[in-house]
Amino acid sequence: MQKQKTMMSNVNSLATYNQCIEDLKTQNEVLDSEENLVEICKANFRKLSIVKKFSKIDEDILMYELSNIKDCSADFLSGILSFETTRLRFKEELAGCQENLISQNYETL
Amino acid sequence: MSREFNKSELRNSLIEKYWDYFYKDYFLEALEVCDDLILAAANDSETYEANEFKAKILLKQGKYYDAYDLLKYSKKYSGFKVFLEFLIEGDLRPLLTRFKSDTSSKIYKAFSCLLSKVYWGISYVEAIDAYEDPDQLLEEAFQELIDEGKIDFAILTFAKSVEIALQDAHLSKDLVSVVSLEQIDTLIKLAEKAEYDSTRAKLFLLKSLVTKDREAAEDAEILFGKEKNKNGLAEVYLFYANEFSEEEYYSKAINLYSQVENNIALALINSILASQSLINGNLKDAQLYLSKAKEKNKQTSVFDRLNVDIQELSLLSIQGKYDEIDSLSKKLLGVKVPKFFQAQAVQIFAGIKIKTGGDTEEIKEIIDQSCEQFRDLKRFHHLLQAENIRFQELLLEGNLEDLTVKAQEIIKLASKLGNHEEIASKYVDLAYGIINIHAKKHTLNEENFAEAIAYFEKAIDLFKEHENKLGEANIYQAMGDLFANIGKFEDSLNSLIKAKKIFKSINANLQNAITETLIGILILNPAVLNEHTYPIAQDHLERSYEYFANESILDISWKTLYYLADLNMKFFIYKNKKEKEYLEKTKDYFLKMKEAITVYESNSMSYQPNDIYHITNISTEQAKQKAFDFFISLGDKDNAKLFKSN
Repeated sequence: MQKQKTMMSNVNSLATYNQCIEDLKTQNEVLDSEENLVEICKANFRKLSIVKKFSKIDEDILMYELSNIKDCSADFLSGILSFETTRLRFKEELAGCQENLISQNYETL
Repeated sequence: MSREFNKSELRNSLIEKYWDYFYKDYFLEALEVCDDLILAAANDSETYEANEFKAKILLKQGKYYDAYDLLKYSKKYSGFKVFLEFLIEGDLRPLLTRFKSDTSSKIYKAFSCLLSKVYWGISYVEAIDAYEDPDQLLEEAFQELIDEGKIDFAILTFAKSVEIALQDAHLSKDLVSVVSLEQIDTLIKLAEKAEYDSTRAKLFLLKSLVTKDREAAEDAEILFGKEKNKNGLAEVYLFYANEFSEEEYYSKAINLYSQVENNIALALINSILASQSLINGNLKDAQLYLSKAKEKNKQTSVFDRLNVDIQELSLLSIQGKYDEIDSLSKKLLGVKVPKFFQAQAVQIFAGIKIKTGGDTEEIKEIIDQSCEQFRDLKRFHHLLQAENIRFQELLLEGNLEDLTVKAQEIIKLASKLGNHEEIASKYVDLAYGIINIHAKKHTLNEENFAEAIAYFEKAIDLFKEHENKLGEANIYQAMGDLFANIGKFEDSLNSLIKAKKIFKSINANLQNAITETLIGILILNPAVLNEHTYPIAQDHLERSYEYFANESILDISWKTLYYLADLNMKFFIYKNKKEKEYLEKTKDYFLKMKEAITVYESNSMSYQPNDIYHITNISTEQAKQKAFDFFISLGDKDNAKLFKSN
């Protein structure tokens, strides 16, 4: 039951984080086209807000790992993988990097 | 008409002067202008405004109560007044609905929410009626300030929010730092339109905090210097001292902060110096700095004061002053105390309970409560410490399986936090656990001994990799202590000597004294004690006793005297009871120990032995009984009586 609850909350978290990635894309587009310094400051400020919201992913990964420290099941590992892949996508967007690092990540894992 | 015009002109010029001083941090000059403004005020509203100007400077100086006194009797609303009340009281719940929606109220409301999140946790703050997203509020306020032409204020508002975001980024520093840096660089560009060099300087200093780059701090120093901003210069000096260990800058910073009467900063420096002294084992210095920090902190926010209280609690715990700990802990566990401080107090209290042999179930409950609070607050560095205390408690229970799982959890947490020291110390604890638990069950064999040694080696390698001498020496000390417990005396002595050499080379005085005591205790063993080793033990124990007594470390102080008495008694026997000087020495040390125990007991809760650390493995009752038996064996009833309370 507890495990199911954790999985559900992880699915919800991933949806929130995907939304963060979309929001970040929007702000990056603003930054690409904007020349007014005040608007650039505001877009950067919004990016910082998104990052703060997204940072919860690190906390969730940690909590997930800590509460399943002895678990080596496929479910657990794929949970971790989804989280970390999302983090990587976010970092990629944050750096404005367009290379597809996700497939590389799958290969490594 | 003309007189009225002149009055208003005078007032406007004073206000202009005030803001000029405000942005350049000329606190004393700004306060003088405020007094002139109060005198020139034509009505209640102008008087209130002048008082609020003054209060804002007093806030910058850390004189929060003086600031609040100026405003509290007026019925006039201001976001600043509510903010001040929040800083003094610490609880946002009864205050949040009082904030209105003018620009400055938005800023103060946002910062109150951000600070509350740090100390009370997100769920607590977001559940309060009238909660609004602080970032949304700050963005609106930023635009409004720009529209009003208040560029400096707008920039400083965004800069402050970046600073808080950086301080609050525990696991995601990499993500937060990237965007923060982008934002700081944009703000630096925007600051070309700012009126004051100090505004730009503050951004350069913030940049250097993220990049750890001295050059950016030097830019800040030049800009602050240009504007003769002493407070700003002091901030740069404090940065040099803290980030680059250029300790001579502490006194330069103190000098400048004193000139502008910045009590918050002075309290902070003293608190930093107290922590450093604590780490170096200079407990008297730590106490001195802490009392200075408390003195300067008297009028600051409840959060600043509680931070110093927690520091004091740690110091009292090291000194073994348990009575004082009891009353301070009660204060820190009060209902109005934010969760972050309660959790820390509970954590320290659990550590003391373990040290003093408290009830296992009670300890478990206390430490679980602390862990839960830190998890809720997302304070992972603190959670790590609390989990460590839980680990110690499991060590006492002796369940190797649970212990290994907890160690894995801690290692995982420490890895995420990039804390190599903690990972290493967990390897050491595991080694300690394996040997001790097997030794107790009489199942210790070469295989599990080798397993333990492998953990020690992992820890040493980790510290060597990070060039962490203190950590390396701590491991040798732990190895020495452990080997002595299982009768591997030569291995023990070798490890302790390695530890001592390193501690001495880095001036880690407390650790050095503990190692010297351990060497002395090791030599007490009949297999090691002889004519050659006796003077070594005597010297080591004497030296360490002198240190513990000087630093008022009460519990180890009397224990060292006990070991000195024991050493001389054993050596007297070794010498076939022929050389009376060792008997006399034994007497003297036991009598001295009696005095030390009296001082210790007048400062302590009742003490019972535990088996975590060999050095604490004796109770006052056991020590007194030994002294009693000794004097009785000599037929010296008068002195024997001193060791029996009934």
